[in-house]
Amino acid sequence: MKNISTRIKKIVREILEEKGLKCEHLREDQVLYESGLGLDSMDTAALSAALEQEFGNDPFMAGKFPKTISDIIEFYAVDLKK
Amino acid sequence: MIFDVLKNTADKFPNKVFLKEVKREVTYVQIRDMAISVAKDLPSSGRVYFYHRDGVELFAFLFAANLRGLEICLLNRQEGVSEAQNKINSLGGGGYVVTDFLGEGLNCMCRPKCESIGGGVLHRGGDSGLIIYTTGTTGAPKAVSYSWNRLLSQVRLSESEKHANWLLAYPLNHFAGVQMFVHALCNGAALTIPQGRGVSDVLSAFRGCAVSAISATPTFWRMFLGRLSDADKVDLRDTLKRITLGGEAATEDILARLRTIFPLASITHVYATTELGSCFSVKDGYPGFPTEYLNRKVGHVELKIVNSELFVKTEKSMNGYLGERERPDVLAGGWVGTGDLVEISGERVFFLGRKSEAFNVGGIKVFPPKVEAVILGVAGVETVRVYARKNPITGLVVAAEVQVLPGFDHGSVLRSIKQQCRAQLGRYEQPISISLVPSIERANEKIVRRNL
Repeated sequence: MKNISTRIKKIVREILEEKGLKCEHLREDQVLYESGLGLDSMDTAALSAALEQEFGNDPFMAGKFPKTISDIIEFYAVDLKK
Repeated sequence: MIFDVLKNTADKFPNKVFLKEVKREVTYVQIRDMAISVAKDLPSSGRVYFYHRDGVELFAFLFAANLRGLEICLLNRQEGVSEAQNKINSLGGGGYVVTDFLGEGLNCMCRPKCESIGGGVLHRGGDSGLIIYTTGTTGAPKAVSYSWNRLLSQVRLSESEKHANWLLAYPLNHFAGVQMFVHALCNGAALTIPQGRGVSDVLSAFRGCAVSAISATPTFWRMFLGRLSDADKVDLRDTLKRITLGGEAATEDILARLRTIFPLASITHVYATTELGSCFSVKDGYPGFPTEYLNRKVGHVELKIVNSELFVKTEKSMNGYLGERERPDVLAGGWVGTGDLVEISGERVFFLGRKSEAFNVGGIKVFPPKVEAVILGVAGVETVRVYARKNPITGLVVAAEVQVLPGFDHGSVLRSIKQQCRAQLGRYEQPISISLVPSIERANEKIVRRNL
């Protein structure tokens, strides 16, 4: 689980860095959008594509809309249990 | 038609070399005699299909078929035999097949016998025409019917051209290959047929046959230049006099590289489509074409822009598609839509891409060639393909496959690509995913375009 969390945080961090934002310590309960980490629609599209590339599937494509990093971790954790 | 041109040139220049291969060359007279000789192996009427590797024998049979008044259909020898048979069937079946294919599966009725000697062939004359397929880089290839008369009338004649030795960089079953063939034929030039289109075959042809001119796609040039050693470049610099680019938009990256490597060569890019034929050329070495082309007749064509699409008016286009209901977009007055989207910037018209290739990202239109031009400007990039990838948020996103030149560090090329895309493109145009791949699918030296 820790490994999944690290990989997801790395992806989110890269997307933030593309926007010119530095975020050393990402919390799993941080909201991804607006007043949280501020991801807009293009950032979210990039997040979806990057998750798919990393894990082979992604929550957005599966019809979920994760609000936090925890939600994404949860999606893959459930996936792993299957 | 083409046989008559061959015969006239042979009469005028009996010792002039027409076709060159690495270990063989034949004169206009020899090809004329071979054509007369093999014509007796062909039927007296109907259509003849060619599923044959490029070479002297293929040309001899082409002239022979024309001499006999047969309709010629050129099939892609790179395709499997079942695909060739499907194409023959889709055009109604029947007819003769000239092939060097010795396996099973092709309803073959004729094989080359160039050594046989015959005579007394009836010259039927007339214009029995040509069927050729579109490249199919943006969809299924379509069969296009042409008259030789129109094809020959598109050729620009020049006295100096008879000293040229053109490399046949396109296969003959490709429309650009046919254009190259009739250009050399009508001008009394030599045409060098490489054994293949790989770098080593092309280099062998350059060295062994003293090639002085080459017409090829920008994709071919990127691949070719990327594999030339410094010594090769020096070798070619002195011999290559003319470079023509076609088949894809000529972008600044490749025009600049060619100018640097071959400072003595004239560099031209041509606008041609299988359906409309050769339309116009640009010789100033810059991408796009001058806006003043829109105000006057350019060669035999007129140009205008309607809803960002380039329309062309010409009397020298194809007769039509065969076996297809689809017709090009035709406006009143004979203006034909090219499917190419353009934009005017200053005094220049630039190509944005094919109408069918453009896609929407979050409601905003993206033109792959614009993105590709930015990526191709990055040092170390050999070639690139930009395409649409499904995405649950924006519907589609931009994705790119990039082939990196040997010797470049992948990580730093990737970083530079991202940096340049951020600097030069809108957010919706920037590739969301960039994959570095060992090769990118090509057809007839053009990047194959399919969205994933």
